[in-house]
Amino acid sequence: MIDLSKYKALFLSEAQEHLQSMNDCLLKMEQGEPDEETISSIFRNAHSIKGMAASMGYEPIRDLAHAMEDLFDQVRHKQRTVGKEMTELLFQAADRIELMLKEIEQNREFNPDWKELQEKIQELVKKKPTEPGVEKPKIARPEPKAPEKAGNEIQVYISSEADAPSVRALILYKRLEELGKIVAAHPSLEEIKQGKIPSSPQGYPLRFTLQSKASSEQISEALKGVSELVKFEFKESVAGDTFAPEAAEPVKGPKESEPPTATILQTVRIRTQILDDLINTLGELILIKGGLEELHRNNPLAGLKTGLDRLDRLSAEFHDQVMSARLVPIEVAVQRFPRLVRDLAREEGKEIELEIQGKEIELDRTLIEKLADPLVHIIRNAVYHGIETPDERKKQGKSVVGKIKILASRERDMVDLSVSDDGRGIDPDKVRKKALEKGLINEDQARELTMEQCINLIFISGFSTADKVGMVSGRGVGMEVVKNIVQGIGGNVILTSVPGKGAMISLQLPRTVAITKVLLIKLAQEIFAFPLSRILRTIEILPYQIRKSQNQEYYLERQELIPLMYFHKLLDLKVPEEHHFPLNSLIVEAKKKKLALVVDDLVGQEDAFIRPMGKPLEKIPGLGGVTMLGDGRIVFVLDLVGLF
Amino acid sequence: MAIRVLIADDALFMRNMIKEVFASQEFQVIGEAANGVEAIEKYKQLKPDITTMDIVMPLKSGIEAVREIIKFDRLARIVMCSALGQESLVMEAIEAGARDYIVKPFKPEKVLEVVKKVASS
Repeated sequence: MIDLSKYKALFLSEAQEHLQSMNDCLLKMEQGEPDEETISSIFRNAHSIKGMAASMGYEPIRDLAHAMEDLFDQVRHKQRTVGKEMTELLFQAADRIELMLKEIEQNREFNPDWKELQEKIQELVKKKPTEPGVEKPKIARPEPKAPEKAGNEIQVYISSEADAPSVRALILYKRLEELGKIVAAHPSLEEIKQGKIPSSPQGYPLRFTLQSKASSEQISEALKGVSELVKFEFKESVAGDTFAPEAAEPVKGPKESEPPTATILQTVRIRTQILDDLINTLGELILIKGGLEELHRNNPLAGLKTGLDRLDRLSAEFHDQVMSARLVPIEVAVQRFPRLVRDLAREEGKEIELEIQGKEIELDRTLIEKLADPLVHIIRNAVYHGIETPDERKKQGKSVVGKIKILASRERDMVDLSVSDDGRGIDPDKVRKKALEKGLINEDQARELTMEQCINLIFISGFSTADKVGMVSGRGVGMEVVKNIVQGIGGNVILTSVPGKGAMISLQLPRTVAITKVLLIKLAQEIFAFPLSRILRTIEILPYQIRKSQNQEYYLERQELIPLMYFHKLLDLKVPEEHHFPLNSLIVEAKKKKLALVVDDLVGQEDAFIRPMGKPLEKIPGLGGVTMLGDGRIVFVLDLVGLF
Repeated sequence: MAIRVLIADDALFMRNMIKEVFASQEFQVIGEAANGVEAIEKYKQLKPDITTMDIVMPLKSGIEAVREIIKFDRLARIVMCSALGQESLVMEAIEAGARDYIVKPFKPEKVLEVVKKVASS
């Protein structure tokens, strides 16, 4: 019996893709006479969702998708024309399925009212407007099947330090069994249970042949979830289909045609973690390169220079390649917006047309992820506050239909992503008044503000709190948060507005990012960031672990004496006069020697986008850059290399 | 979000030791049980992300508790606490659906490694 939970994530992401495609097509359908391709696309989406849900055992989704499929089958066979009632019903059904996916994700029970919707659709199917009483033609397409791979050869080594290798082997066996069928195992299950595990210098070797529909990604994920493994490798004996062929292209939006077969080998799905790991490894590599260059400057060695130059070029190339592997088209972030704008506009009784240009422009995937919420917020603002009601627009002599435009363009290493609308613009006087009322500025300041400064008040903390918390983002992030997020990833926000004509928010973004994991530490009331890769471990030192010799204190760890020092001292900060136990310390390695650095407090971990300091601050030894925390605070990133 | 932990062990000492291992922001010990029956009840009530389960406990053994919990929640993540020499019992628990095991005396790093892996699987 295969444990379906392993497929859950994949199911969710694929079902989501189908829903997205369905939504796009429904929108197209609503806007005019649908072409055949649009109709068969919706049919296929419903069909695929049904098939996947059925194999996962999610019956409500299966049934609802089935009803949609039936309805669309009639349209496809020209037994029914597309009407308003039907489109609305299908939108509702798509939303309901989306909700059910969320319910699955959060391990909640399905809300039972989906049944009502399904019945409504079924009623519509029965009321055949053109050909009453005709039996629905059976679908010729077979159910989507996931063919099994011939077998994955998996070689695993359990650490020789494992407490109970046979139990570990059994756990491994169980985890693999959840993915498919184990057709061969060395040692066998019986031998494992009897504790007969061979050993080797590398650890306890185990070999399995697994027949499974799981992708290699899923297998390696499962193996990574098992502790005490020192090494594992696997190869597929025969390349087969994955769970669903569409999976091959994760970042593409709606698919119009049949799944590609020949292109499968050109794109693979990579766990995003691997992309992040690559960046980290690359970061290390560049640090080491820097060290070597430093060494060479101090002790020039014949011939070394040529090698270093080549290393420099290669690592720059490597950097570009890694970065380009992380690029994702903006389409991923904006593809939901047509539907979002449609729904918001309806809710507000407005008519709005959304235009998107440049969605093929690419950005680093971290940026895309981080931009998702800010963009929703900006769009929401444009709909709520920017675009006027049709009546108002008519009075102003504008076209009744408002326009929102998302435009992406690239200029060298920066991408400009702007959202503009042709609504009422931002009224500087209103903003000024609101800021005054909220006590964000005083009367004097208010008088002196230019128009531009006025409208930029919307970015000030505390301004947005009275904003209507929309249903869409559900979080009510203010413009302040939008600005913080964008600046946090190294970008900038520019707001322009012409009263009566419209407003534009332009995000100037870097194409790529350098994200480093840092530990936030507290020294003399200040917070600093310290690259995690530089820390061997963090410890709490107790009095009995300290030894003193010739005015130098040491931390005694097992048999090792590690020099103990206040981090404050390295930065010329005030050193606490006495120890407050336990001493929070970082064990670091500097110049090949271990060092215990005492800090006041460990604050937490963060993914930091480190920015260079620029002149003249960059000359200060020990400071490697600055980064902005999630809450907008700016902290210095410490660099150990410069401190010794 | 902190990983929510339920600790089942008949010895208060062991419970406290385990609690200490989890004393960080990454974890939140949401309940304790001193026997197998209580472990099952608390599991149903609290639905923890992770349950650490002693094998030998009064009223119902840890293995029986695993069986019942798995019946209730197929995806329950249970980590067995065992001593050296209890391999066959641990294997029985694994067969019953436990996801992993840790060995007494506990090495905190190892406990955390195992628990984090299980929690994220």
